[in-house]
Amino acid sequence: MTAPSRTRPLLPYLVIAAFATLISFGVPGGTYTDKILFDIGINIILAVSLNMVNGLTGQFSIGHAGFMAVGAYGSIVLTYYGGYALFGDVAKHSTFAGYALYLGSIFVGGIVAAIAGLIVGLPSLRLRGDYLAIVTLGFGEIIRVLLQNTPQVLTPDEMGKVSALVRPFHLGGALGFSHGQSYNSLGWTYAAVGITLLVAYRIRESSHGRAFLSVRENDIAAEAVGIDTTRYKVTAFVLAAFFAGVAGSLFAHQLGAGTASRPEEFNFMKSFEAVIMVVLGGMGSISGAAIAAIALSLMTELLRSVPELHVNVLGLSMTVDPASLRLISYALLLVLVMILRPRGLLGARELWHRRGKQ
Amino acid sequence: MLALVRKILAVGLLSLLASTAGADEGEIVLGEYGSLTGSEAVFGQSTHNGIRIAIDELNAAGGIHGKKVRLVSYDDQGKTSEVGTAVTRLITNDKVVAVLGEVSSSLSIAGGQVAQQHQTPMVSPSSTNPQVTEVGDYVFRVCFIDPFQGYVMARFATDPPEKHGLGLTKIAILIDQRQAYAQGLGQYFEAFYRKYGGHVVAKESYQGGDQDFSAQIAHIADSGAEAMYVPGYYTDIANIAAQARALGYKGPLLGGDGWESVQTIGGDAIQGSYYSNHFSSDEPREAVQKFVKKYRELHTDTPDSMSALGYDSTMLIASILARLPPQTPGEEGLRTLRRALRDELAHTKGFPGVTGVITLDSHRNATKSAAVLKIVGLATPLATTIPAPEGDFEAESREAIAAMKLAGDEQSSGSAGVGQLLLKGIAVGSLYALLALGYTMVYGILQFINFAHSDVFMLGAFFSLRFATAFKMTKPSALQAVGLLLLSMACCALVGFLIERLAYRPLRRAPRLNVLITAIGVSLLIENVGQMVFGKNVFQFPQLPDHTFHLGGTSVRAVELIAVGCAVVLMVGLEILVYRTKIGRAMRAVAHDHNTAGLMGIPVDRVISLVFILGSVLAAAGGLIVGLTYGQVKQPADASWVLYGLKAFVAAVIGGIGNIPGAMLGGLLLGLAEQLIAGYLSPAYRDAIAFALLIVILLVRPSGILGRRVVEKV
Repeated sequence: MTAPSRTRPLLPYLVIAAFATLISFGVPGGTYTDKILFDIGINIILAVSLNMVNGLTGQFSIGHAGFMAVGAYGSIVLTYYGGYALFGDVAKHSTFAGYALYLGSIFVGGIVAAIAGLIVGLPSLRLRGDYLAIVTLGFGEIIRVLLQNTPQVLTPDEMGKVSALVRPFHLGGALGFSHGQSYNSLGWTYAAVGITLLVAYRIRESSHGRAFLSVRENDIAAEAVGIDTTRYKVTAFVLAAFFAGVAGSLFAHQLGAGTASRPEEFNFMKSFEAVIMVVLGGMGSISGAAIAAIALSLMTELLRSVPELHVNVLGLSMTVDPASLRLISYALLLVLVMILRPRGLLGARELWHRRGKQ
Repeated sequence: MLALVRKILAVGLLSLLASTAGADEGEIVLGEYGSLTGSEAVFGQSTHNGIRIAIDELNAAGGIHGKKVRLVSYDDQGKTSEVGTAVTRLITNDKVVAVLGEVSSSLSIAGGQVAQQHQTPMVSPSSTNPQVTEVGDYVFRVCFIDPFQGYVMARFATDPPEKHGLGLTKIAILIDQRQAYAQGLGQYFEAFYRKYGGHVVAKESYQGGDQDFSAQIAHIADSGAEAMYVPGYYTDIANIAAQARALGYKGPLLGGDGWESVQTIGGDAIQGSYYSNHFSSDEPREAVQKFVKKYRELHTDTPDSMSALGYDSTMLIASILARLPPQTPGEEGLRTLRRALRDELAHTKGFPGVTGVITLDSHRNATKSAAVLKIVGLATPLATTIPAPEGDFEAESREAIAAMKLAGDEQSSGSAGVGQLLLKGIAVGSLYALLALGYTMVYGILQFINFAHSDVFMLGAFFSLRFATAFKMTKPSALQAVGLLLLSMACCALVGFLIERLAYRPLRRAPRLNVLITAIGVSLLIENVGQMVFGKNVFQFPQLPDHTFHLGGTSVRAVELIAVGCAVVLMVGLEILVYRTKIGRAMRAVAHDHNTAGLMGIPVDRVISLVFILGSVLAAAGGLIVGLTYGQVKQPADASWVLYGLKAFVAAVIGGIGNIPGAMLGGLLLGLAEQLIAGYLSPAYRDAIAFALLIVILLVRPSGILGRRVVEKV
């Protein structure tokens, strides 16, 4: 490279441009590969954003799914009820207005989640790290219970009978948002993935990023050199919540979106999955989190097709069923990686770091 | 970096290779997606068994058009995100002719949208929510829908006895807020019941997986209801029935098809109750008895309606495929066949299934009669059959709902006595306290949340169940119960020791987060191995000879008193061990500072092992107490076990983590707060309010009630 210092920082923007061209305005992709790529994309956003809190600042959040839920419901309310209020149509697909609405709803989902993050983070980030974990966990459960107690989604015929202000609270209860629309496609998803990666990269490689790291390494020392640790913790937290909200928005508008946003979907297991990706990838490593997200998504898929076993031992019906084997091997892998490679796949390294640089 | 990229590509390619196994010309492929793991695995497995029997039967008879039928089944873990991938994979990669699945309505809607987009017929065996088939013209079902089941029970409850009904005018409703299914049934039942002149005198709700319903039941008992409509899943029903009887409620309980097999775990409390169902295995029809016999040969128990519906949905598709011309090769042939199958499915009329004669209406829903079954001992004889209503049922149910909404709620809100709530709060609280001790001790010494603790607790319940079965104790005496307790404590102590030795000790110097992830891994591992070893089912737990004490308006069960007593004894024992013995002093020293304690000659590793053993022993006691109190234990992977653990941890934090008296105090406070919230505010929001309380306490007093504020020094 002749002029590395000038062109290198521009590289991510070029990547974004490439992604932007990928956005297809047609029917959302529906092949198996599309579906896997979509799951991978969502998981990358979740893992990379959670990495900003758990990896960069060393705080410990286990309520990421809660923010995802807030984003999912926030955005779907906009495309569904907002679409009805603006265009008199709940499924405004394949038109410019429809996609503008969708784009807006992704942002709204992110912002609503970020506000939730601020409300949760502002008081609790003053506390020690473990308490943040409990507060975020509690937050996720509260959101789930609140969503479960909402009334059925209004069909367009019923809209007239309900005041416009009360409409958005009809979120479908335990069944999920049963009239969700599939606006999403791979282009949208990977544009969001690109932006998430870019923001994470820019933060990490900036002076802010070093401030985040200093909070992780030793927050008392960081405070001593004049870093406002609470502010940085809250910033990281709100930013992560924003991207979790974006992931939620994309998730809510996937194919088969009717009931994709379902309260049960965002339980603490979902939050754990994101934490697992961050730790497997290596705490603080953006590329590590992304790789772990890809690897884990592929692994669940590979293990789905474990052949069916028919075991009948002495008439005892203790069946060795493949579905349980899948989760057992997942759990075993987790424990083994933690013991054999405690710093995760990449440790604190990044793919773009040259060998030896930490 | 290049090497890594290459590695990633290799993994990606591998996955694509593994998934390109398409259909072979000599066979017919059917796809199934279902919850074979997770909280709903009980139903997923049943359905799967039914489908399997149908496939085997078809192949034994020479297949369809001389081709073998092959079933591809994918697990969706009960998650919508997994459903999308599983159904897409079935359709685009395995090239199935039709898709069978799900039990849960939200998952069927998600899967139905994918099937609709790919124009592949999908038949749901047992999703009863009306919205499922509204997804599109490729989505069918072979069961009746929620409004109809609500209607059936409303009819049965209001019909006079000469028309085989109950003739009741005052009924209370208790709904599982977590299940859209129960919400739907409850809503339609209320609408029709009020339409036929009945009065709903109380309406309560709970969260599926809850163990304690006393606040709601006390309201209902006060309201003067003659019967109680509880359309939840049977895993909760046995529990609800037992608690209703303990609180002096006398009337029958009424329910829907989610009650299936409740008689196997419900014991005496559920006798004389009724539920509506798709299928009765007692029906003498030849097809039914043939299916029942075959099922018994393979699985040793009696088939439920999930498996019968799974069987019917498969047979319906097979019967149509046998009528249609065989598939011509290539993509176009498959598309034509799928379309033809859809057209024929839409015109299904009078298909003789084991669950009755199936006719699909213009909304692609099955219209058929429903059976009302009465629970007598372990049998469920047919009480009456309610036929499908004449005329436009959909319009009728819409009107009933509208009329109900217009009339507004009619029930008065009662309130349970404060004494009752406090007693219950202490019982639940002491259980939380027992568990919280395990969390708090580990946290005090190793500073991490031992997520596997709730699984040791689960194992405690299952070990004692297994020992009770092995020694044939159905009604253990107090002495035998103590024996069970000791045995299961010993086993749990071993498990706790092994977990620490194998999974946590190698990570002693690793970051705390790593240990935490390992804990989650261990927890998943135990849950799923447990699921395989103990089975995906709800198990009846042996009961102590029970006695209920009444004092004024409050009543308390002997077993609850014993449980509280047992918890208190254990906690006092622990207190003495930690604060009055030499080994206790060693534990406190290690908690204070590992390194210094090590330098002072304390065997740190051995002390940590001891802490895990102690925690596990307490958890084992908790497991036995849960079994004895509620008379049943849920499958190992059930979410309620984890929820217990989380709440116990919350209790530990409230009391001040790392602090032993704090854990006890926190457990009691949480138990009491939960009961009072459920009793006076709302049971539906109980968990939300409990967590909100936690957050408030943390903000006001970050180190918990008894915890000491630690100032970090450089």
